[in-house]
Amino acid sequence: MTSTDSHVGQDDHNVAVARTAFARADYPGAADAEHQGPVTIFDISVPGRRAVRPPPLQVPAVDANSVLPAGSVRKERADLPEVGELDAMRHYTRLSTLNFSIANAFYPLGSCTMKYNPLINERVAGIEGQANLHPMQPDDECQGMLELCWRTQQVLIEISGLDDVSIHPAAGAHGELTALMCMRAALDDRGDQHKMVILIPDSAHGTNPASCTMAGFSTRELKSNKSGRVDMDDLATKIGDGKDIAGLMITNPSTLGLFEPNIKVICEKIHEAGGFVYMDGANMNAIVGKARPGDFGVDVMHYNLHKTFSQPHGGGGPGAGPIAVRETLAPYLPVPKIERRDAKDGENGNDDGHWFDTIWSSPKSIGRTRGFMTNAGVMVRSYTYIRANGSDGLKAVAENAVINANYLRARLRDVFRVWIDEPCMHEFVATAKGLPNDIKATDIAKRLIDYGIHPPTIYFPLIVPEALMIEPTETESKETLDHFVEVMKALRAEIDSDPQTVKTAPHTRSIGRPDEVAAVKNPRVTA
Amino acid sequence: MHYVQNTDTDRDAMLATIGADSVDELMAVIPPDCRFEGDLDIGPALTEDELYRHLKSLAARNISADDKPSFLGAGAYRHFCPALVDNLVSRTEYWTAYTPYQPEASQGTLTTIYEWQTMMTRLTGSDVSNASLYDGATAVVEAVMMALRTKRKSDTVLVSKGVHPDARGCLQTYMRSLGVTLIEVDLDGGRTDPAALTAAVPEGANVAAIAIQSPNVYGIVEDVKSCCDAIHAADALSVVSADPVSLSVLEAPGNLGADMICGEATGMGNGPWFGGPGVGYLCGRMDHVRQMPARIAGETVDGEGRRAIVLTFQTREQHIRRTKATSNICTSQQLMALRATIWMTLLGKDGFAELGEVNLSRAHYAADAIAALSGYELAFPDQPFFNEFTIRTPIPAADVNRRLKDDHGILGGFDGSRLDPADTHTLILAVTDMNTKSEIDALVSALETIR
Ligand SMILES: Cc1ncc(COP(=O)(O)O)c(C=O)c1O
Repeated sequence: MTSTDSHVGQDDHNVAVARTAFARADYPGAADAEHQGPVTIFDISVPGRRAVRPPPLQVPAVDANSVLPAGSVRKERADLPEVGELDAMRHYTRLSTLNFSIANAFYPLGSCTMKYNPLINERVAGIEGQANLHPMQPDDECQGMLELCWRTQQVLIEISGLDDVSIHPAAGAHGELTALMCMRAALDDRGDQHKMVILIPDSAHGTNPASCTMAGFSTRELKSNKSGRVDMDDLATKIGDGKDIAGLMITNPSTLGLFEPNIKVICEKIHEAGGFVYMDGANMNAIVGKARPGDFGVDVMHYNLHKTFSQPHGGGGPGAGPIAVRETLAPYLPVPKIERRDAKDGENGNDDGHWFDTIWSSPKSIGRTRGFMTNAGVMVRSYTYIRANGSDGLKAVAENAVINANYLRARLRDVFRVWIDEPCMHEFVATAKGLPNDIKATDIAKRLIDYGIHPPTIYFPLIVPEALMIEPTETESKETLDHFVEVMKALRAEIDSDPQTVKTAPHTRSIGRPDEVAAVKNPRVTA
Repeated sequence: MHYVQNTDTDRDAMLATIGADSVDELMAVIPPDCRFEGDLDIGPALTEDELYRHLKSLAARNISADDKPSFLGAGAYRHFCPALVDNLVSRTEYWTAYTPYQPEASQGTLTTIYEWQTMMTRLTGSDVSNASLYDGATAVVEAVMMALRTKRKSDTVLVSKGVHPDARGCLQTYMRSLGVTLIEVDLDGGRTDPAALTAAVPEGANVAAIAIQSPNVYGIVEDVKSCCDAIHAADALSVVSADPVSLSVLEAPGNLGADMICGEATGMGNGPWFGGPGVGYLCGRMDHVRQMPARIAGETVDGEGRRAIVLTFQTREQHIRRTKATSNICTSQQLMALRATIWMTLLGKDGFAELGEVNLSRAHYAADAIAALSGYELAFPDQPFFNEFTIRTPIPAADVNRRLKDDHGILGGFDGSRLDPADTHTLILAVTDMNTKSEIDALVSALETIR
């Protein structure tokens, strides 16, 4: 069960006791017995105290002032913390307990696919020969890593139904940007410099329009129709004569959790206008193994390996956002790339007699978009995950993600209004709009924290007022989903019976709602 | 093998609640002509045991610094990492959480970001740091783009050739997209000549930024102060890329006139990992904070006056500002920044300084010994360095590296011909706290036999 800390039905007194207990338990090191919010490492720093020692000198000490120009030498030691090892351990252990995570709570954060992160991924990432492999070593010293990256490319090509993959992008947004740059290069190459406009549905994630700006495109927004799909009339209008259309960025399944029924026609229309179709693949978890973007007309897409393929989210990365492309865009992918060939005489090929080369340049490539080649540590984990699942396993991922989301939708539709109450894919969007006592999506999110559940994504997509975007993922059990439903019911009852408690939630955490306006007005960005 | 917990019974019950007869009925929202009915050709599903063996057999085909002494730096440096870093970062509360959108449920991550920002500003001598960027190369680009936004109407950016080639490559790609002119400024004897920076500014150009790196790609400590003065004289903002570990010994760039300080922090508690995941950082001045990309944590109070850490200045970001955001960045490299934060904590004020001395001393010990070998010399004998330096080799550097490996089991340095194809006899060696005296002695004895 993920419901570690249910506070259903707790009265005010209990809340108060719980809060004090929590505060005490979490801050024994606080200078003040009264809980004052999180302690930073600087608060517990004591001059002269030390943790680990660096390696010894072993060679004669060189005085910096004797070998460096005076102005280049640091005059004072950087004021880093001074703590002992035990206190450092307690500090970061304690801080960790202030986090909700997949390991300690149900985490239905829509669009983020907070699935279980298998531990075998971590174990294989710890195998020697990887972490200390240097990106500038020659190919013959990196054959294992090159093969691993190449294999990752191949499985990602297969899953996309497209022709080539670049494993450069460090996250989804980076994939968007890289892909848009490839689209720009392809358009320029065929003399279509005037094609400057990317169409983007109003339901799109903020990274889509932001990436367009960085790639030098302008954007034109597509309206969603009442059922949350691309409005085909609006699409025709916005394409117009098509002269300025460079392409379309579409999230499919959409950020409303809906598969775009007209996707094939949409792709055809964009192609007729001479543009490329980009698919934001953040929601691949719903269709992996069940539908391939290349097959339904998409030219280029990104994956979020930290969503679909179980790379841990790390508190905000690292992730990876490889892009898959059709042949037409492949020549423009960034360098360096990896290619496989038969091993030559004298080369110690792999068991299949293959050798892997780094290709440093390619005539039409957009060039470099990052340092070195890839987030290799992420490739190791996602490759492992894909191989653990196999084809049937991945299909089961999609199916169960869809069952779990629809199950929640069916059970919650009488509790909170589901914005578009139709069969969904991996997620659906509910709304707090119209709730009594002026309750907002934020209030629901904050109160859920008291119930030991990480809130859904709120206020996204922008087209749904007071949005609550709920994505359970395939790895949650029915019991966890049932518990969530019970909590949501209890919360809904509280909205009528005790709205004040909801509006002032959370009550059980080390802090209450922070004053975010003050954080901007009187900025304190360092301790 | 997969990680789904639903049993057939669960599924039947859930489908009944949904009102669907089968999973296929639910999946039918995908139009028939969009479906994939076949099997993915991705190999059979593997068990944990098989996966481990498979990945182990792949890793066995790498030769890394796990097995052999290595003197490769070139933007990815190895440093000592305390055991406690691994232990703490392996807490699932850190690595399975996501971006701290809900501060009440994320004070752990937020506080560590706030600590990271504090440490990075103290190292770099700046006012504000962001939470992290993808890597050192894109950090240079983000710093330059920040300067472009700060200096409206600017159309040109200059970069010294002392900046890492990957960062320069990224700059080329990104500046082309933005329609900004990028000019590369040649080095003079391995270092950036401040006067050359100003001289390279074209007539009538409106320069946003000029970027340098110190220590530069040849390991040379640049005259950051004079460069920044020259950059300011050209009415541009100064971007200084710096290996943060070097700031144990070297003056904080912010104290030398740097407006934006950026770079790759992977050396702090993270391995080279074949180039990623690393962690980019970006620090700057408070008056530029609204042009800064990526997350920034800030301190505020809750309703009862308790300290609370939140993500702040969010109106800069893509989820609010969309096309006008300071950057498209969303997911970044937070876990790597956490490793770096704990690494800096454990070394602490004195340990970090001492680690710097070890780097400086061992590198100079190695450089002196190699320079004394016949046939070898320092390429830039008059230039100061921290933990990386460039030598001239009697035979092509590629051959030196090959013989070091084949005959002596040593992974050599970075072949200078990868920076300048004409530079066939130049080798760039990094000597850090991970290269013991006996490794250095072995390198020197090996080089003595390689001519
Ligand atoms: C729909 C959608 N697109 C794009 C992104 C951006 O991906 P990343 O955060 O990996 O850059 C996200 C994730 O946050 C997303 O949900």
